[in-house]
Amino acid sequence: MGTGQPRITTQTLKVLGALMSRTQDEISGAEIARSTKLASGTLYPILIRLEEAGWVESRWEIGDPHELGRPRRRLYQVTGLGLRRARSAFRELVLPVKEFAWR
Amino acid sequence: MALITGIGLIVASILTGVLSRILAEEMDAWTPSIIRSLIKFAVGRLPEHQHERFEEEWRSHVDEVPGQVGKLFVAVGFLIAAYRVTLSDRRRRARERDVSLLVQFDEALFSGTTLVNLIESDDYLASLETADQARLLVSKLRENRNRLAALYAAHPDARPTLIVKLLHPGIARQCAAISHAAKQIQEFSPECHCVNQACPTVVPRRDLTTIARVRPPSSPANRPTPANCVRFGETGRTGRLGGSGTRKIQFELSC
Repeated sequence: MGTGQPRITTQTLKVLGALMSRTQDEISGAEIARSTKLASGTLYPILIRLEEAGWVESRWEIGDPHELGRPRRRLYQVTGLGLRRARSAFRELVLPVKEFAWR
Repeated sequence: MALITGIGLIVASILTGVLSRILAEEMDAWTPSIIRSLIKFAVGRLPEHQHERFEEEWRSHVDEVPGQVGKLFVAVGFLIAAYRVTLSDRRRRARERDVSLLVQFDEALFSGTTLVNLIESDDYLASLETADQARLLVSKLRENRNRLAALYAAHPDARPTLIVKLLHPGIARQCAAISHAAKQIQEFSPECHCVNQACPTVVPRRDLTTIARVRPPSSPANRPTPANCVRFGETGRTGRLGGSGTRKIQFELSC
């Protein structure tokens, strides 16, 4: 279980969005970086924070690096807790925009 | 003249082509080892338990990036990632350590309160001047301990070491004074076993000039002059924490 609530920034939401768009699949850090266009220096601290908070979990790709001929990928997936919290974070973000649009 | 310029231009373009080709080949040859070194260096900055994981993960990330320049950029990004992770890890550990000091202050408070209760239950002890001092010190210690806890609660993202630098020495001094009062009480009443004082021992001993230096460098109050030492040490402290452009924390310490 996580340790506290991670800071929700635009970049964090981008990462969560990328993970939530493929809830059934696990994706690597490089794929997340490609879809969010975030630099590696920004992406990994966010992933570590989300993982420590229990919003995201990760595991090594199955296979031996020697057989694969390359280093193993670390695959990330959003957890149930992360899904719930991320949805509420997105709702909080969308609500003020809607209110503004109707005025 | 035009012919010479033309020949010169052709030679220059040939040279540029050859040089850029050599450069590209050199870069192709050197980039993998530069990337490996960058990853190794970045991983070395991370907390130890993350070394193995990120070495493999970041190598696989670089593998997925096309082009040598792209790989190089990603590898440089790992240095920034490592710096950020280390910084937040260090802050978290410092915070945990500092917040744990509150427990020690609570123990000191408990001992101090026990001492005051003992004094109150004995008419002779209660009449002593030291008893008044002990009562006052315990009440100040409680007040400051609660202020410290409130600061931690109100500023979860503040650098706790700054709070510690400003408040802990004062509280530790009060705690030591209570301990001293307890010893004096015991001299009057040997049967009173109240010297069992649990003052925080891990509080760094910082003199008043160090406390003064925590203030913004631009502030005249930052200078460790004797006047500042008197101001900070004897008449209590009020002020703000943090340099210009940073979050300010109001603090007040009863001395």
